[in-house]
Amino acid sequence: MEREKFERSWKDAFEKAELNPDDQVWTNIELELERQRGGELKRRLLFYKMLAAASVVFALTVAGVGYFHMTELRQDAQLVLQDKTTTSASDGKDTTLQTPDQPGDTRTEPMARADEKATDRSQKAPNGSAALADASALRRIQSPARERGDTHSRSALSRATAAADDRPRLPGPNDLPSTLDAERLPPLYAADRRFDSALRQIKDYEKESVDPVVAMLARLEQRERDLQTEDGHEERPDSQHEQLWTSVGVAAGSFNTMHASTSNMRMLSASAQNVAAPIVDREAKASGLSYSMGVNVGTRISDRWVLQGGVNYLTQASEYTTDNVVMTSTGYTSRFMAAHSNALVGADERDINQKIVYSAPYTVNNSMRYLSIPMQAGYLLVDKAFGVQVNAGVATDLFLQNTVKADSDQLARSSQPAGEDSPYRAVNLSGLFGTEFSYRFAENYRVSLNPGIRYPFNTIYKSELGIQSTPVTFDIGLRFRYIFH
Amino acid sequence: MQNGRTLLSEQELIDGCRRGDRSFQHALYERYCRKMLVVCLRYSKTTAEAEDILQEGFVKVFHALKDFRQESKLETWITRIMVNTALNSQRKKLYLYPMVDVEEMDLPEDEVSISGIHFSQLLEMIQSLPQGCQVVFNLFAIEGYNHKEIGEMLGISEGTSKSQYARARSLLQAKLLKESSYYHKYGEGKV
Repeated sequence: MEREKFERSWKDAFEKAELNPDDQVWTNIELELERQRGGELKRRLLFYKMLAAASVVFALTVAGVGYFHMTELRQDAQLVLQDKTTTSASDGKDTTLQTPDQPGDTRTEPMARADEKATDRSQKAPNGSAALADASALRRIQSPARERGDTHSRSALSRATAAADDRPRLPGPNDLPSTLDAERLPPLYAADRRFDSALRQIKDYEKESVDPVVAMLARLEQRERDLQTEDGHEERPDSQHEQLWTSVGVAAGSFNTMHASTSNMRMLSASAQNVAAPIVDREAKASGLSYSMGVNVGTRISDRWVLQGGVNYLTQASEYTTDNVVMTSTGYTSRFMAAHSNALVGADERDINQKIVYSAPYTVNNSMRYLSIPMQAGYLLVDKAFGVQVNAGVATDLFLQNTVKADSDQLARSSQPAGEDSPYRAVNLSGLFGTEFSYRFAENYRVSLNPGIRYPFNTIYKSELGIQSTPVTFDIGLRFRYIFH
Repeated sequence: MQNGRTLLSEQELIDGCRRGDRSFQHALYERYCRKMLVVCLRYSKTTAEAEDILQEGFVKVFHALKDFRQESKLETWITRIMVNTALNSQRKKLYLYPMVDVEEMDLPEDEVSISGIHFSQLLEMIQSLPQGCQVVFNLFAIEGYNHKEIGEMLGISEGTSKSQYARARSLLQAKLLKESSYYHKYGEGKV
């Protein structure tokens, strides 16, 4: 009981106890909260950047695979067309494998040609040379057989078929259904009536089990028809007529200063640096938003290569937290401005110590404006109504001015144009890399989305200040292109 | 503005802080910082150390407010966060100088009353205790935890907690006795 009384008395003694903490505690709490909020924002930005980068990689992969596939098909189609041209004059009597809805003899010769191409590919196989010889034999046999229509051709065809059977790519006898009933066949074989008809004729011709070569020929025939269909749509695309264009566009994104350092700051004496360095450090490491608008012109310099240039008005706005203000006195009046390196360039040590005044933490917005002149080479991965293009180049960024303002109304806004009093370089060179996904929606118009990265080759601060800051910008642009004819 | 904020209800403060409104956060800090500094001082040896705990604790409070289910009073909840933050900061020291069972000192025959002694003197007495004794005394006598809970919180046995507390109590009574005799000798001027 006594013991409980003892404890209760201690508890009661502290029940109403209060002591005032130092004011600095709240300042530190506020700074910590700001720092964490900045970190959270950075993490969110990083997530969106990763998402955008993943989208670009995915789009490039799809475009690359599509381009490879289309190039191969185009080559196949050209070979088939050449073959048609050379054989149509000499081979006019063939009716053996003629289908009801496809007149003439254009059927088996392209098959043979395509078969030869298949054989060419099979040369890479260990027994490729034998397969090539078999394919030639098959082609030699097929033409006379069609002309004569005699029974010898069937045995010759069977012999060639047996020889060609050794090729690794050919389907075996078990690869096809035992019956050629079109309804039971997989979709590839029963795609349309023309193909069914061809299979029926093959069935009548062979009367026996389906030969793998015949199946292969039928498949190649299907492919040939696909190519012909595609050729119909693929007259050299209109995009080939796009020789010169102009575009207007806007872009928005974010920038993040990956490499920022003030450790080599040479603008001030050592003691003044202790005061100024934290201000410049926060400013140089700040991240923010980037947006631009401008006009561009482009021209095609070869089948796949384009050259683009233009003029853009670029704004990069960053935010950072500071607990200093800059005081400037004129006569009896003092003016307070947000802390920024603008106020520190050219100031001597005494000035610095007088100018910098401690304050409660607040947010500073620094908005830098540039006139950017980009020059980029582009490679057309997909050159159709839907286009995919990879761009790379450089931009000459002419610094116009920066405006510094605080979120507090009590601090004056200040602007500093390029020149001796500005801490920023007047001219910057930046590397550009991006992708362009475009769609031609009218005879003269194309709209495009342009995700891209901008990376300055040098620090954006003057080299004599010794401040390193190279903000990497990731933005996505929307452009409307007018095509001249 | 600040005066206006001090009139806000607890719920309004919580809602404002949950929105991340800095002025509401400042108002909440202003309302509880003085009490919480005393809590932090009880677990620290110096004021600077206590203010570090206070700062870290309030940052945690502002982050954790969105998860505050309001099953207890806001002040109780903030106190718990401060105590946990203090314990975290003390754990390194406790790890370096682990608590062991200590022999109980002979208690004075009569309990010495603390009535009439200013809390700042009591605070000094608590701060002068050995690290382990200080923590266990605070948790048992003032926060109201039992020895089993204290053992779980600090990773020590219940017996160790008991012996640390007994030692703390003996040391404090000795100090109080000394203070009391000083008081009787020199009068209220000391206090």
